[in-house]
Amino acid sequence: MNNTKFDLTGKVAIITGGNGGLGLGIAKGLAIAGAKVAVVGRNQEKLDNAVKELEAMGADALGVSCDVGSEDDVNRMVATTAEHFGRIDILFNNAAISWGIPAEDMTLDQWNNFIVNNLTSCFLTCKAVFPHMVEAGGGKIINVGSIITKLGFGKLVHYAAAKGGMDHMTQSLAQGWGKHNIHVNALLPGLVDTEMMPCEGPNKVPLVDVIVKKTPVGKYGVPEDFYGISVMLASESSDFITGSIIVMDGGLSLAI
Amino acid sequence: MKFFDLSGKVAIITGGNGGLGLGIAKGLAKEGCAVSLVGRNQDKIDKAVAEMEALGAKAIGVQCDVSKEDDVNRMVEETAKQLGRVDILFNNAAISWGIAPEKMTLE
Repeated sequence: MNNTKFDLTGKVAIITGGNGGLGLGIAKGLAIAGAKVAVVGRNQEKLDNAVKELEAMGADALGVSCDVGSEDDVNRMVATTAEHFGRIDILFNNAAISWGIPAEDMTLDQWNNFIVNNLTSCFLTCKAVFPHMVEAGGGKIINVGSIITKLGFGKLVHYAAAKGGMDHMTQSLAQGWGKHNIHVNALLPGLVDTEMMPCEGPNKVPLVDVIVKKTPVGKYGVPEDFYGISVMLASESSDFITGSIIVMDGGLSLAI
Repeated sequence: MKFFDLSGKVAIITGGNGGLGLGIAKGLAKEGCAVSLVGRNQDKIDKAVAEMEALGAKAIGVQCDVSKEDDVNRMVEETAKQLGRVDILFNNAAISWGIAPEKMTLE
């Protein structure tokens, strides 16, 4: 009674911000399920290392350097992936930048730059993969947001605005592209141990212990925690799920 | 590495003798889970268990009225006794019919 509903053999996935942290975790999960993965990032050295790690697992991986805030760059990245692997079935919009600053101290240039990198980038990648997914007979888009959209944080107004935009884009894209068999869902992680939010070691985020204490499951997440949900949302097993916003935070948003 | 592996796990699915519940039971069984199908209609339970067994699944049927504490306790004990443990619970049993709120009695 082997279940093939989670099988990604023959599928091709793009993971933006796939060269480290949560994105690389997602890429590994998809690769284990049989997908070919294109990891996308700006830092070439990190890209090379990520591809090596994936290949060491036996995965068919490609690293594509790209600034996801640039339309030309995104179109080139998607064309390169399609040319290399022959198709595109899955897109994880995972790339993000973040830093804390109160709204009153943020300049318009900083704001615009932030929105371009975190929200406009998502529009650009979705638009660029659309014809490829239609050609493939369908597709899966997963927007990696944040539980910030269920909470509030005074120094992350820009981040909340971008991630909130992604949540609502997810729902309307799902509505618009369902007829093309393209399913669009959002995944909202809580605290996950990555380079952006180190939970151990010298650069540990100061609030980690407080957050873990408040989290019902009593721990922070690790990229491996995202293997299963990523495979599910990228595979046939989620063919009746679209426009869903899935919180994955160990229950943290219930507790603070 | 295997994702989604439920080998050695035991699941109770209330309302598992038909419809969505039986679908859930089949999905869990595909991943190696032993399943306890719970319902009121013994005939439907027997058919569901036969269907599961035909798929190669380890399945038992337990008759139970889920609104009765004694019955629920007996059902859980029966599952634990026959399948050795309980890891997963799907609260799927439900009844429903349409009626205008002004026509509904408190009972």
